[in-house]
Amino acid sequence: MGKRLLKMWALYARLDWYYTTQDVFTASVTIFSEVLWGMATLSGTALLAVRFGGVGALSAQEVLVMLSFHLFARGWEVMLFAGNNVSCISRRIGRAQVDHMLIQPIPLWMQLLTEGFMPVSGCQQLLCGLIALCIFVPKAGIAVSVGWILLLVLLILCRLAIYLSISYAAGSAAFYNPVGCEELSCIVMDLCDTVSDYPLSGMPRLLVGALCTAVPLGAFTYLPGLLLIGRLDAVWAAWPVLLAVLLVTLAQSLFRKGMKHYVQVGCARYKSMGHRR
Amino acid sequence: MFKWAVQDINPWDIAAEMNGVSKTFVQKQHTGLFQHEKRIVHALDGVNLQIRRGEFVAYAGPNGAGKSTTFKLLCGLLAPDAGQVRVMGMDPQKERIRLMRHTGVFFGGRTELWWDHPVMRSFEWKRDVWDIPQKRWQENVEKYADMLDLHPFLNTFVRELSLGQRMRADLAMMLLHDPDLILLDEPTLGLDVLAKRRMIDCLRTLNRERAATILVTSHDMDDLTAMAQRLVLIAQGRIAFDGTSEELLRRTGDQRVLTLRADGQPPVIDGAAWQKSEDGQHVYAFSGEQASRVLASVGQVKNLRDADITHAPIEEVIAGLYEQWSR
Repeated sequence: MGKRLLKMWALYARLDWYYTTQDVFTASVTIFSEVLWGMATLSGTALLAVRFGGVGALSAQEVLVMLSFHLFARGWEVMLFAGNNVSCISRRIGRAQVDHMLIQPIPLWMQLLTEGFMPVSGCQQLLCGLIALCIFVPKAGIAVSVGWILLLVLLILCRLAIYLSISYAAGSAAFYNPVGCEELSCIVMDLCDTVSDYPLSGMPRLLVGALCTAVPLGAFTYLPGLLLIGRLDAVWAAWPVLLAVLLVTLAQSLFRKGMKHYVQVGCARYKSMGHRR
Repeated sequence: MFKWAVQDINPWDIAAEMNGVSKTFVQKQHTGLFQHEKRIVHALDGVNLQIRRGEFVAYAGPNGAGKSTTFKLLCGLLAPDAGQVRVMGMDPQKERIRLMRHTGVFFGGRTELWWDHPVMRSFEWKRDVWDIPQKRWQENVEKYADMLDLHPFLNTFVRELSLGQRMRADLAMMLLHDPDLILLDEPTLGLDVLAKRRMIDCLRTLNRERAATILVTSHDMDDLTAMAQRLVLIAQGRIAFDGTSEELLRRTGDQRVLTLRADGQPPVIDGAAWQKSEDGQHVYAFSGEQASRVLASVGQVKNLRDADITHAPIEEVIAGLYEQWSR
């Protein structure tokens, strides 16, 4: 199974390489725009933090570490799942492109885990995030140890799980209403991306609590950020893990239910133009 | 030999089987502002169908007759409301992955090819996803590229292909894993005569040489009779006819359509019944047995600019069958 997974990742990496290098101009524009976009998403919060010497109880350096984590984790999301509408699953469901997946002789989970991989056209934010972490973590006086790196890995895995779970839970609505919900995953993910990088420090406790539990936007950057800069004890790392498990279970249940509905009623609409677009 | 080939399926003689299969859909009818009515559509209504290994079956019917639904049921994209579907001894819902290793599915209006890559890259993708050994894959690429004349555009981006080229490439890609069962939904849709001929020849060769079981749908009676040994006609979710094209002709009469382009009033054609006239085109129906009478009469039409004879459309053949039943 592991060998098969690696083979599939290698296949999609190759396809991404060929796609990106179709011509020099396309490759340059893709890489440049990805870098620009990544930097632009953080610049507002970063500038505010620097101008006012921090946000709430967090210093400017700590905010920059938090934002670096955001960029780094987002980089993983983009690199692993942004290709072929894997993270915007409502598009594939709403366009009846699930049919194309069901005629492949490999499990659906394996297709979803590998088809979005774009290590060439989607690695720029990851690299920017890594560079930012390398610059701002020492400046914030954080001692990097094996434990800290393991915590970083755990938090990224949790964030990926939370990110995909929200997308798939929302996107499952497209099984029932393909036209109305075709873009739902993308809209929800855009919303998460837009608001999740803001440090919640200094906000009313009730709001912070809600944003770290019921509406888990705080679990994307704020909570992991606090853990990485040492403002929260390491035991609090259990919270994103628990949240990820809960959300994965919910999304899996909704998606399975949606798939059962799909094989009962099918999907009458179909958008051609290449079913992975 | 493939890692998963032949030995991992049960010995089977029946390639596909449907027993009492029914499938209904709910259609929403917009009847006014914020008003909807639900209509139940019986796509399949207690269908029994058996396809033996190595058969070439044409599955025909008018729009909405249940052809695509049958295909989706056979490849597990849909589940039946009632009845049982077995394909190569497998339940398509429960054994989808195993089944798909042995099945090739082709939907005429859709493409499996990678839009923003050259054709060849889609073939490579197929090799990796289906786990086809390199040697077998290479041989098949060569074979189908020759058979379907793909060489001139193997390195062309899919988005830049014409419809005919794309469909040929799609067909070739579908065949690369040597499927035992081939399901083709409208493979000749929108193709010109030459491309259609090439596709039909390829399918007949596959059936003859590899004993592949083929189930194909089309609207075009001429295509279907050119391709298949057995015809299954479906209408309103039920099988209206199941037999050879010769049997169909015996049952319904060899119905033909004559289209004339001539100025003025529709000419009287001996042996043919006038049906309609539009923009100087006059349409008649006649039985194949009357061909010599009809042709003699056509020869005498004044101001004749063009004449064309085709098989009757599938809708009319099926209407003829229903007429027979109601007698």
